[in-house]
Amino acid sequence: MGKKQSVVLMTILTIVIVVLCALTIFPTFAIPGTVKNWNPAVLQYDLGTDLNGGYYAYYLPKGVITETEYKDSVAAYEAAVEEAEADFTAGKIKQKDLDKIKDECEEYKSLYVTVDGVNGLYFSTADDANNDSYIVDDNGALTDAFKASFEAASKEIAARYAKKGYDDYRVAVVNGYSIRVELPASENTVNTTAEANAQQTISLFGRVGEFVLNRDGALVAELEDEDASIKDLVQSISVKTQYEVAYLNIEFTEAGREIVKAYQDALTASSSSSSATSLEFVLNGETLMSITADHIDDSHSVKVKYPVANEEDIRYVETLSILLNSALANEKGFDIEFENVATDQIREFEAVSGPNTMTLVFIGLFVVLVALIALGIVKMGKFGVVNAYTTVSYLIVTGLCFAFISQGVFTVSFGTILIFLIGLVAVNVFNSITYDAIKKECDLGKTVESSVKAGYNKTLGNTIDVYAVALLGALAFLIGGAGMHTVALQALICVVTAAFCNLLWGRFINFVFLSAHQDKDKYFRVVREEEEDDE
Amino acid sequence: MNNFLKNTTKKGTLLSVILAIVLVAGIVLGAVFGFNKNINVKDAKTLTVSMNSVIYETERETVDGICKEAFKDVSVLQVKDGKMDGVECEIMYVFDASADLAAAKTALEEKFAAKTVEGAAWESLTVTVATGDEVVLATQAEGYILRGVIAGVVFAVLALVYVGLRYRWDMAALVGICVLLGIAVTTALIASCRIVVTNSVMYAIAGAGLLTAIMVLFTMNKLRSVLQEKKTEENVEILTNSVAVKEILTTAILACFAFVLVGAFGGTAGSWFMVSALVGLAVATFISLIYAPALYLPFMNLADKNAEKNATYKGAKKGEKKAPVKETEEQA
Repeated sequence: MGKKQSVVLMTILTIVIVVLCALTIFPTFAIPGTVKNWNPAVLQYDLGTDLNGGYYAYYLPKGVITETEYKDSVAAYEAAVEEAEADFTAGKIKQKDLDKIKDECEEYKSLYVTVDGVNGLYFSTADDANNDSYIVDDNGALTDAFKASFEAASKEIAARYAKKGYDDYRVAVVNGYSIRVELPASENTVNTTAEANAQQTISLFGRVGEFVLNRDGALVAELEDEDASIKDLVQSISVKTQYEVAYLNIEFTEAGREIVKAYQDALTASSSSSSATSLEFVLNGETLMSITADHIDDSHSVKVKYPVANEEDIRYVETLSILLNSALANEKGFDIEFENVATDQIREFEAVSGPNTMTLVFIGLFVVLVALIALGIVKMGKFGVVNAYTTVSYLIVTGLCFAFISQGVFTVSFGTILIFLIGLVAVNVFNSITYDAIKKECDLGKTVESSVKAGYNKTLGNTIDVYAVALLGALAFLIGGAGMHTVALQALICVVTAAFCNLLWGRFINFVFLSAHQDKDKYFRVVREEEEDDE
Repeated sequence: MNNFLKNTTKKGTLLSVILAIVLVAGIVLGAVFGFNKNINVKDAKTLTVSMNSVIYETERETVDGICKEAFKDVSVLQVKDGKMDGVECEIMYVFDASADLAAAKTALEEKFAAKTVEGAAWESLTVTVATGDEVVLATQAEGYILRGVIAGVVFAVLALVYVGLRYRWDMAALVGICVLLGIAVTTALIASCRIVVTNSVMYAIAGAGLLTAIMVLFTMNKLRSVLQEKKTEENVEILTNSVAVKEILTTAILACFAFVLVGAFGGTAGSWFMVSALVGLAVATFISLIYAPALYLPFMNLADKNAEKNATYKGAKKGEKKAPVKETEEQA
């Protein structure tokens, strides 16, 4: 390649790398003349709990309230009594109105009691406090039925979250009879925010009632028997995708298929008559799926394909599938109900290390990057510039891949940072090994061009072997669950990018730079014997 | 360095015993005490201060100051600011499960009750204090540890097969053993040294396996080139000269520098994670630099013995006719 062409190519390469670098890491700023901000790719990441905090909420059984809620309510009642007494004194209200308010206050106070050995919670004494049954018995202790139901339900809820595959989460029993759930703020999808996803998941997973199949608003005849269960009708519920739609695929047993077939026939008949007919899957009294003719697939064996959301929102469908499979496994539900968790009851918390944790990590990574580049230039001279270009190229490709192969697929965690650093170090180490090999060839008296060729050829096998084994490692760790699977995917990107940078990209950049350089011996700091003799 | 490596290469048995002791100690300590878990993944006690969002926005620092004063006798492990969409917010302080919060709770209730009659923003706004005993039900995805272990074993097998096809099968066995050792010894050291762990520690352990494989391969590549030439030295000399000291130490030093820097900036959780990663790096460096050559020496000696057996002189068979010896002129 001619010198002029090399210089032009070098300039173009530099401009492209600078622009892409800015796209990847240039800090946020307000775009002049607009209300929008410029955000680099690195700020698009979904971050794990350690780096970005998350959400937490409480599941409280019906009839159970927190000490805070009880005290707030009592304070409100007492304030109302005070106000009523003042109004009564002022003649604004009558004695019976005052008595009514006082009775309501006393009624509330007596409705909820504390129980020995349990702190922070108050329990209702009403006979229909929870699922039409008592929570507290006549002796002021919790009933065995309530305790057993809570224990079973809490384990099932924990199992649901375990199946969800979060990198970081926590489900804990608080004060014996409430549950606190903590989720990462990382499940962003195209159409919903992390907060909305968290609320959806928390709300869905708190449902522990009976799972039944209704026909025309009433239980199907096959489930009327006490010993019958929906497992006799439904075999499995799984998530599938087709035509960019994620749907629940429901397979039935023989008995279940007959019900669906009969419903399908009734739908065909009803289109010519005025009577409507419905088939519904109901959980805890709430209809989750209302089956129409379009949902029934009888191409091979009768099954239901219930579309739920776009394929990009598949996470929600997976959550629904986990809930339904859990409900299927515990078809009778539990003798307990939990209060629904509304959006305004979900607490959002920042990273425990502080809101600027990720910024500080970025600063640390930037310092590492600059140090490696500087070290490379000091050690390898002009070849160090090639090292700098390949290092920055590695940063750009991995940074952009992590940002744009995302939307709920990738969560950036400390594992991501570790694997990124290993790849970064590998790029620099192999550039250093290649430089040493080229220098060795030069020291044998060969020309720079043939030394470069020989140096790259001699290090090619080792480089390929190391990256091949690293790739096998990344593939093997795909077997791991949850966060390990995510980090393995990220490792695949880092390994492939690092291999590309060392085997192809670095070689090309070196070729371009060397072509532009007049004194090729100086490029590799080679001192020839003739020069020494001259001196 | 060469003399040091020469000495260590001859001490394969001693090094194996040391590693075995580390492994056993890790298993025993892990079985008895378990890992030293971060508070996020174990039982805890919490003290939650709930307040009106107006107080939270304007007096959060005051509330935090009052709480910290009350927590003189107990150690706060984490603080979580729980912001809600409604009118309430809360600050949750997380303590060890053995902490006694009764006195702190009473003191705070009295202080906040006194505050609400102070006037201004505090007037008639309630601040409530509640404690919680948390018993963890779940913090890991289903099958997380089992699948991680299987993934580690599969990696070792894949590395073994690849090296076996590309290099030699005794080198393949060495790489497979080293990868498994890297993972196991790192885990044992993390358990023994009571390094604080979360679920993320699996990444550090996996990283240790990866680094071990990479570093051992540096040496295997060099050794293969040497073994392709005719042997003129003793096996110990060959192994010592083949250890890729420069490549391994360069990788170790650069990685150490990177991990320390990022750990320093990563907050408490990040720091502990990078400590685990540094332990993995140290194990990988030790295994590749010192233990792998010592472990490979018996393989080389065995290969030499087999080569000797196969290279025995085969004399002429009975009954074979000797070729006639031509009489030279001199003999005649």
